[in-house]
Amino acid sequence: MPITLTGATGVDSPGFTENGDPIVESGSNSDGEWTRWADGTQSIINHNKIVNVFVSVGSIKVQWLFPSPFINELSYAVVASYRARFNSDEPTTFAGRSAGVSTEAAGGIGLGLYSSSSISISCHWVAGSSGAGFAAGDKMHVSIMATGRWK
Amino acid sequence: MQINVLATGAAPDYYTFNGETITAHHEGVSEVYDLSDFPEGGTFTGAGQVNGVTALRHVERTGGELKVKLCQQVGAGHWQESGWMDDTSYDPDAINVKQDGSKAYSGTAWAKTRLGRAEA
Repeated sequence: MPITLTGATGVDSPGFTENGDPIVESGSNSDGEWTRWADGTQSIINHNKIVNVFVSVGSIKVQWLFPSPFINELSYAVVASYRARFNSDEPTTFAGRSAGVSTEAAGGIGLGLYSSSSISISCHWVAGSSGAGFAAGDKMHVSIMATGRWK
Repeated sequence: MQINVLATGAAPDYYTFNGETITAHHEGVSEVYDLSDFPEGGTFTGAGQVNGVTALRHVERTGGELKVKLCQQVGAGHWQESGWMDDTSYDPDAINVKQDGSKAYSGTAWAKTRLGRAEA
């Protein structure tokens, strides 16, 4: 049977829009930026989340309250990475010590305690690496984003 | 007391103040936060929520003066914190945070006050 292709892309699709716009809402606030699409997808991002709550020499943490909530705690996935300071007036990454401690020494970023409106971010020192571990006042800068469902 | 109201995706509907005590109100539920014992140089590690939403984002005492970061719920649009102000300048019926109208967005910009959603 011959196949008939229609539309500019050769495929007819329902095209998720609301009032003709694929984006339903978007904005930014003190917790980051967010976009909600008509098909139910939501993306949120914080370009500079500061992790600064001292737990031990092995870790520091912070809670990221989302700029816009997801439908539930099982509906999204998160990625995060260390980043450099945007501006010279941002706080020194490692308080009371010279700069230059590598993110390899600081180790991986932990993400947990998922809820529909927040997640816990932790930074972990690699045992046996250079340096003495985290100290009170240390700050790590993280770029973090999540994508999932808002409806 | 100095306060700075952050623009956030979830927040109490409004706050009331009495000396160094803050009461957060959310959907008919109220929570009292007595900060009078918060020490100079103390580290804020968090506070209980009011009806499932975070009410206090940060507390510090500098030169004897209490400085607290609160929040106001906002929707679409680009929003920024209020900046530091005396708690007597806080208006529970008004939009205390600031809108940045220079950037494009989709949807209707709003913020929540004691009176409900207020379109910007």
